[in-house]
Order: sequence, then structure tokens, then C-alpha cells
Amino acid sequence: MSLRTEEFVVNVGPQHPSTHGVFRMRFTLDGEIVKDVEPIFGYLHRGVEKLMEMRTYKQGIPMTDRLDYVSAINNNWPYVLAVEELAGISVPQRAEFMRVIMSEMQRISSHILAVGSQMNDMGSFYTVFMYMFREREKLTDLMEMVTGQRMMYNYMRFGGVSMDFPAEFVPQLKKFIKVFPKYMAEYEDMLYDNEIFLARTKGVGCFKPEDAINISTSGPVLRSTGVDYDLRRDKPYSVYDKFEFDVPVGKNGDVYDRVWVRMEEMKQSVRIIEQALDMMPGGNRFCSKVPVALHIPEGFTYKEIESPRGMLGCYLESDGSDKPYRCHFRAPAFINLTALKTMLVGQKLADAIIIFGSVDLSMGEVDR
Amino acid sequence: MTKKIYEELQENCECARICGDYAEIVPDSLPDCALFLKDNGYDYLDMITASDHIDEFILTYTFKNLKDKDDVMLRASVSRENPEIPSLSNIWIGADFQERELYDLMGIIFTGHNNLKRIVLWDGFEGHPQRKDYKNVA
Repeated sequence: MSLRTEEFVVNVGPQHPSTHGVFRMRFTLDGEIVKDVEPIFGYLHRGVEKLMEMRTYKQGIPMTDRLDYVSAINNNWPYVLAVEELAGISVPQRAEFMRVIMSEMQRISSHILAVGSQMNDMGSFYTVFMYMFREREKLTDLMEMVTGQRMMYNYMRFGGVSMDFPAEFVPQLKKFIKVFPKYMAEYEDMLYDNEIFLARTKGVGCFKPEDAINISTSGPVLRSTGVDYDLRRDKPYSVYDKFEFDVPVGKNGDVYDRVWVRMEEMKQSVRIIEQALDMMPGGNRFCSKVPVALHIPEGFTYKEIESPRGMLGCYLESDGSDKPYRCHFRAPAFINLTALKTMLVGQKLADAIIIFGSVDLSMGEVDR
Repeated sequence: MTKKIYEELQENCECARICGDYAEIVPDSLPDCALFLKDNGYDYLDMITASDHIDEFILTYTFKNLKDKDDVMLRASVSRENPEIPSLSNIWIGADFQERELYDLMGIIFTGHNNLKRIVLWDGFEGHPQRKDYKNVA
């Protein structure tokens, strides 16, 4: 005999310790089981796309940092690529490698935050998180060394990057890359040997590959279901075709797989940084000469890169002036959010926060 | 590779016209074109966006073939007086939020969308800020 209770509505957020930003979910529950969920957002909407139409091309770069504040460097990239294509600006080889190194460092630090806060949501309050932040702090210090910033790096420029690596940077990074795999092993012990982690993530929030494609998800959410697609390998931009790396692919599309994919991606990022440091040409060219008042010929383009959250695209349209006519960002977290309903319906309310965390959102990017 | 799919699209959906690296279509034929692409391996709806060209809105759709690693871009223009285009949210769930966002900021009506309401702005908001004639306060 199954008992049915009256359905009721529970509101979670917008201010809630485990919603990763200001985000609200309205659950319709039948007992403990989620029957329906309606995500409500927009609390962080700043109108970045409109603001960029009022600024010159170069003034637009710092705006892109603020889209996804956890992976600022990756967010510069599609915009810079789109402008470079429309204006026909070439990038020195050395700058391409510098971009790759910095964005892979950013990927590691973004994934550390994702996995760390995932454990937070699960009740391991700040234990794993703090262990992981120990290394994230070193990464942030290294990036501060190059850019002078700790969060909004504003690093990329049309035709290269804003600053050369300082002399101490490469040896320090090499040292970090050497010890990081040891720390990765420590995280893995903390995660995969943890009975609570396994019990709460395996088979929770399952997601089929057909659904993942139908919902246009990307990044770790897509790859955790077994769909093997990574722009860095399948449609290489910059110098990614020169590196050897694997694309980790999950099997079941549950929360465990999403965490596992992120953990494996960190190891691959380390491999890419290692190769990039070896292959980086010498010299001191880090940016080609670009006119200060940049006017771009009429046209439009769409450029995509693989950000830590998925495929981040920039649609840029120019009318020949010094300001973008239209600039649109395909925000991966925004579209991955569509999957929330498919993942959550039929699950327990207690698991809802974990499943929501496993999508790895940053509200700045969702609301724009 | 990309060229071929555009030619096939043109053969099967008469209203498609190849323009360099994208195909221009008539708004009403969008679901047909999209279904044709879906049946031919382009089963991943990548992005939907629109831009305001004063007398018309140009909508851009990109699709991906994840197996063959290929992209397709479709563009359609709708008039400013009657900015309507069929919704793809019945074919791709992924179109849901993107179409709502375009409705919210650009004021494009996606016919057949079953929950077309504002997504990032609040319900009582007046106007569509991404349009060029929107009065900026700041």
C-alpha cells in the first residue's frame, strides 16, 4: 500500500547557504519526493550585453570578467577571439601559449571550487573545501603574480595578453605542477574513500545522454553522461591542437560522475600546462600592435571555447563603429540550468541541493 | 562537409538560401529546417540569439553535430511590427530558457512556447531593454 500525501510548495532561496549565488527554487513536493521544480533567477542581472553596446571594444573586456567571476580568464577568451576574427588581428604564438596556461590554471581553480563546495553541500562542512583551497590559494597567488588581481584578472587583450609572465612565475608554476598530483591523490582519498560521499552521490540525479543532448547541456554535465565532446579537442581553438590530453567521460550521468569528470579534468589541465610550458616559445612578444581606437568592419561572428562550465560562446555583430552592435554570450551554466528539472523530478528533497550543486553554476553567468 | 549539409537543406526545404557560411531561412520554415537538421545528425541545438536591426530582428540559430564535429548556422529575419517565430522548445528542451531570455530582453514572440514569460527581469518590467530604441536611464 502506498501512502499519498497532499502536494505542497517549498521555497528555497534566494538567500540560502548552499545556493551558489542568489538563486531561488520553488519545489512542489509529495512528501519527500520532488514533483516539480521551477528555477527563478535574475537577481544578479546587470545587463552586461546591453552595457557592452555602450562601451568601446576594449572597454568590453573587463565586462566579460564579471560574467563568470570564478573563471574570469576563460570568459575573456570567446569575446577576444570574436573581435580578433572580425578585425583580422593575429596573435603571437607565445601569447597563445600564455593564454592556454592561464586558462588551464583557471580551470583547475574553478573545478576546485566546484568539488569543494559540492562536499560542503553534502555536510562535510569546510573540511575538504579548506584542504582544496590550500592549493587554490597557491594558484591564485600565481595568477596574481602575473595580472596583479586575485579574481577579475582582465588578462586578455586583442592580439595577445595584457602582461608578460614575470621571471619568477614559470619556475614557481613548474614547482606547483610537480606537487599538485600528490595533492590530487589526497583529494581522491578524501572523496572516493568517503562512505558518505559515495552513498549520497552514486545513482543520484541521473541523467541520460539523449536528455543531455536534447537539453543542450555542455561541459562536465554533458560529459558525465557519456557524450564525448570537448571543444578543446573536437574543434580546437588557439593552440589546443598541439597538446596531448584525454577527455574524461562518465558513464551514468549521476552526481558522482560529474564530480569525477571535474577531478579528472584537473589532472588533464596539469598535463596541458606541463606541455605548454615546454613548448612556449621564448622572447618577449606577448601582444601584437592594435590601434587604440579600434574600428571593426561590418560583419558578425560566433566563437566558442570550452570553459570550466561548458561551451561558452560569444556572438558579436559589428556595424563598423568602435562599439559592438550586438554582443551575446552563450552562457553554459544558464543552459545547463534547464536540465535541473529533468535531474530533480523524482528525487528526494534532501538530494536536491547536491544535484543543484553538481551543475556548478555561477549566477553571474546565468543572469548576465 | 558543412557545404553539403547546406545544399541538402536547400533541396529539402525550398525556403532555405545559402549565404556563405550560413543559411538564410523563412521564419515559418524554422521547425521543418530544424527537424531536417536533427534527422541528419545535427541534433544539438547550440545557441539562439537575436539582434535588432531597427526595421527587423535577425535571429541566429547554431546547431552542432557532436559525432562529426560540425556546425550549422541558420538565420531568419522577422519584422519589427510582428516579431513572431515558431518555438523550438517542443523539439529541444534546451531552447526553453534561451527563448524566454530573448522574449524578455528583445521582445520576440516564440509561438508554441508553453511558458513564455520573463526570465531575468521581473514580471512588471516595461519594455525590452535589448532593443535599440529602449530608453536608457543611466
